[in-house]
Amino acid sequence: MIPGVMAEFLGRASVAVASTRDARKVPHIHFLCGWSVGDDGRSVICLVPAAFSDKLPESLARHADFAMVAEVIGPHECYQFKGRHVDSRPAGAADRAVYESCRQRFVDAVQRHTRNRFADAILRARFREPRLAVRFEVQEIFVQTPGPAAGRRLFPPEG
Amino acid sequence: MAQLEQELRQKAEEVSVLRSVSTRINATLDLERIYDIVLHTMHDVFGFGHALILLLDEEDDALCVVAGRGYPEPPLGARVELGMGVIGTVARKKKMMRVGNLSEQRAYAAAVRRQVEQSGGAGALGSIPALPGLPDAESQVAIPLLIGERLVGVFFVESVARTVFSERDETLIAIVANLCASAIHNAQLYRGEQRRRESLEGTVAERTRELQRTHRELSVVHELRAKEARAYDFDEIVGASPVMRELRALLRKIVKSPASTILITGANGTGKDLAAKVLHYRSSRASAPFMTITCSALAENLLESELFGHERGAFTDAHRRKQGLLELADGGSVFLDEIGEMGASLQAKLLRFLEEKTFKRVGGSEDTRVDVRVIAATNRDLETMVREGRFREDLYYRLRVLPVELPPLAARTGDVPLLVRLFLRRFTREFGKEVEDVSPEALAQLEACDWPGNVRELRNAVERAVLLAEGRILGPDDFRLPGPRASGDAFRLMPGGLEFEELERSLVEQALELARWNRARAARLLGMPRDWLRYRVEKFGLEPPDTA
Amino acid sequence: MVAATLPDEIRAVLDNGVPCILATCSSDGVPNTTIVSEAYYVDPGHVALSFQFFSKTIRNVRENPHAALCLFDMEDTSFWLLELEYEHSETAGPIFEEMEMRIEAIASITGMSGIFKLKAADIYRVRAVSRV
Repeated sequence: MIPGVMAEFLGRASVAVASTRDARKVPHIHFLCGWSVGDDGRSVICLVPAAFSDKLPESLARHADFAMVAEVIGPHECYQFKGRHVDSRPAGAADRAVYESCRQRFVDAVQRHTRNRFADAILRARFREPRLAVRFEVQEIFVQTPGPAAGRRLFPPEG
Repeated sequence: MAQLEQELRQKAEEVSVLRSVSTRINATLDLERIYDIVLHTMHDVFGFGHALILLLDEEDDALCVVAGRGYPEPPLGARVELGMGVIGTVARKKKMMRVGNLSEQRAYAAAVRRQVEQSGGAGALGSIPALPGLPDAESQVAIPLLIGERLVGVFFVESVARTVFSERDETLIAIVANLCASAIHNAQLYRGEQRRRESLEGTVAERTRELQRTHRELSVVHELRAKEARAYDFDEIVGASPVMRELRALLRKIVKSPASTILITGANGTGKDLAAKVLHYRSSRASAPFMTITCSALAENLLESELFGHERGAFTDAHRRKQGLLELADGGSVFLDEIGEMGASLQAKLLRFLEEKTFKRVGGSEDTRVDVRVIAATNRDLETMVREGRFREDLYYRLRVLPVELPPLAARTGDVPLLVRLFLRRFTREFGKEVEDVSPEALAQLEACDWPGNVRELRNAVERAVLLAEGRILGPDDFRLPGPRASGDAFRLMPGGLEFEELERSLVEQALELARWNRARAARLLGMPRDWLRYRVEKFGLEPPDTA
Repeated sequence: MVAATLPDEIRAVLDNGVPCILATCSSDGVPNTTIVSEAYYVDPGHVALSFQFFSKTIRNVRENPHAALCLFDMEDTSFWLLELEYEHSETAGPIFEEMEMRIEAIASITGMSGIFKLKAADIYRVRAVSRV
């Protein structure tokens, strides 16, 4: 199970990015436009825009390893969630609320952090419309907040 | 195409601005003006927000803000240590730096800081320093101001609005900063030169004043010497008697001779001091110093030191080297009065000097050579002293190269009237008295006296007479003649005796009152040396009326 | 060797201060994603990343040199995707010194001297550049 505090964190995170790898172990980056904890409490559903979803399901079918980093912009509170792909589907109306919520959190966080330096439109443009909803089961969670403790595994606890 | 045109136009404008800045900076050597031109360009022309100029203070290895633009209050005087912040790091490394997204950097650092604190490592954290500039700046550019490899300062630009300065911005700022560095360097050199010149001018002016002062002092000294020279003419040796005419003739011969030692003999009060001065001031040495010392006035070791000088540390209290009278009188004359009182050890040293013209200072090892004429005087019978072994024979003959013997007044009483009238004129002028002459009776009595104290005694008598005179003609009663005192009848002790100290005190007080506290005159009234009078003034605690 | 050239316009994006994303992969195929605050332009064929805290990244690229970098262009809201290959790490030299200078400057402002220590400048060759 994803610890409650981590689930709560995902509800606060303002940006998330996933990475996968191909047959040559070349990593690929997928900028997410939404994320939420699955109903099973063990998986995370990632919304992926079209620009980052080219051949993604096929790749994940062969190489299921999945890593997602999420951060609260400003305090730089950051964790990496690692696991294995479970399934993918086209993003739909059910995902809209998550998308918009995540996007708004992103815009608000950046504007707060940069004192409204950017136009909302530019920031919203970073969160493109989702095309895919990719679900992965979380097996490990690592601290990714910058500092000497970065890389420490939180879940399952080390030791 | 339009974009290309715009870029070209922008570049042309920038070049034009830079050329203008270069021209204006090169046209001035005034630091404040340079700062103004550069900061105006940054802020008003390029619109780069906020700019600071910091100069290196080499003494404490820190940068100091000297000018700013775009701030509510430029942080003038604020200091940045080398290595601190963007400014200090640029200064230390002497490389330009451009940083942006500082709010993100600060947030990142804060996140790391929290993590460190949570993990118990707060001790490793440093404090956040107070640095000049905007606390919420988003982007900064710092350019080291270099002259060759030498750091002069840092030029700093920052912005709240811009997330980051572009490379092009950095290039523009760097160009202006380089112009600034050269201009500041030249202005500092110029200012340094100005200060040095002002300091030199100040030194020259002061030295000129000193020289002028010295020149004036020298002029005064020369004038005094000339006055003294005029005062000490042969005619000052007053006397129409044959013996005095012969004496003056002898002195005229002596002054022309190159002889380096003269011995003047004569009883007290015959004018040995006057003769010595005439011998000096009528000679070719007149413009050089005439130094006097009384050999009986000092203990032998002090006398030696006065005469020959001493080196530092030669004895206790010898804190610095001192030149003696011989050295000070180089080129002139030294008058050694009462030479008969000189001790044996010093006689030997004096003899060596007379023979070799060199001497060693007390405590010294090096010989000093001087050109000095020694005029010695004594009222003692040196021949007898030589026979009795109290004066060195070789020194006696060395001194006696040119002997001058001054006759006692008793041997030329015919000169008494001449002398009396001379003194009368002098003292009536000095005291403002209207005494015109001395009666023939008084003159006859004066002529008949023995005058054991010689001319000095006669002079004192005339001085006292003029001082106490009430009429225009001095009569016999005005003079205290030496005759009665010589017979011992001047004072008779009463049978009941007296308090001698009271008498002594009374006489001293009266003499001082009569002489209006002129101690020399008072001493003469009492017929005693000044030292004796000084001793008694101190003994009785006497003070002049206006200081009592 | 596959190599690509960074276009001039990417320099401003590298400079724009928006944190970029770096992905690596271990030799046993587990991907790793990190958000990095700055990527440095070295030359048209190379970028550098500072190694301060994220040791998993350097362990991965030493096992498997492939890496991916994602930048966001605030001007036109496009993403730049760079396929990279780790070449070497520098602990001296002009690139390291420049990165170190910047890190030192920021560290001293934020009271983090000694904590913000540049361990190495990791140099990556650019294999491919795309824009989405």
